Amino acid sequence: MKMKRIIQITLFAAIFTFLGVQDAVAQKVGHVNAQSIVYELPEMKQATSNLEALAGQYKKQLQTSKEKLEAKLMEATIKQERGELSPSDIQRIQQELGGEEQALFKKEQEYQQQLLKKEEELTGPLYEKIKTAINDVAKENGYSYILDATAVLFAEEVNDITSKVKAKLGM
Amino acid sequence: MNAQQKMGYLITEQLISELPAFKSANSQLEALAGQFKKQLTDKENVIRQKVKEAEAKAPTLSPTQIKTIQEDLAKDQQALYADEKRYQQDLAKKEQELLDPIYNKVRTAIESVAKNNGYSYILEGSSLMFADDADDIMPLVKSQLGL
Repeated sequence: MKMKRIIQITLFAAIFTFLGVQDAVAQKVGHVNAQSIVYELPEMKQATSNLEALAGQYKKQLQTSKEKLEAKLMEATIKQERGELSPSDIQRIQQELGGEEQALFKKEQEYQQQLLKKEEELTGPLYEKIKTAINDVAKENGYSYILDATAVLFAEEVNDITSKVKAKLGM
Repeated sequence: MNAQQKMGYLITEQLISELPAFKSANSQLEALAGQFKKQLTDKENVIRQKVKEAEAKAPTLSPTQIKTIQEDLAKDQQALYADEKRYQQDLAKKEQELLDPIYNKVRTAIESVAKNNGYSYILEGSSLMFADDADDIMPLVKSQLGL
């Protein structure tokens, strides 16, 4: 009987101690330089160069269309100055060229939207991956908070998890 | 192992605005900006005057003379734009020259205070929703800066 009581008390004491320890355990705060990870991640570099290539391609297409349109305008102007065009000719050409100009403008906007979409498609999963790696490192190392290194005025280096996150990402 | 981390904060902008060096730098910059503005206004007035005179004389001038005057005025105007651009660059440069050392001094002071007082982190106070007054390192940084 007495033995059981002692065990009970010991158990209680243990629980209390445990709770007490829990209470005294401070929340651990760390920081990460997410920007440097984004910048150095090889897949991100790949995505950036893909996007740049696509943007260059679009730009070239637009430039070609624009030059064609300018050539047509120049031709019409020369003909008009030579008096080779009737008023109805002029009106028809103006409408034609105006239509082409609008189509070009629309195309430009379309390309911009496609570029944005592509960017999201390529970089979205990478940002997600980085976020997951930060989360995992934080949990594995008992951190309650991870701050963005660029947002703090001073940080002890010992709490920098950047290299751990990079390792997790295979960098 | 799980020693409590000491957190502190500072509203940087507030500290900087109270620094005598910053106030003096600011008034120097304002004076310089005022000086540049006056120079630009004076030049602009000279051009305006020239335009006025040219307009009055225009009926008595030949097309070539008018063209020469137009070209002259265009040159004056371009010179004015160039001046404006140069002044802006000069101002930005001066600003950097005067403020960078102040920012560096503040950064060093924050670091010293943090290290000397065992802080793990100093957060930017203006981005906090709530913070205990006790964790404000403003007085420490001020005394570090000799204020």
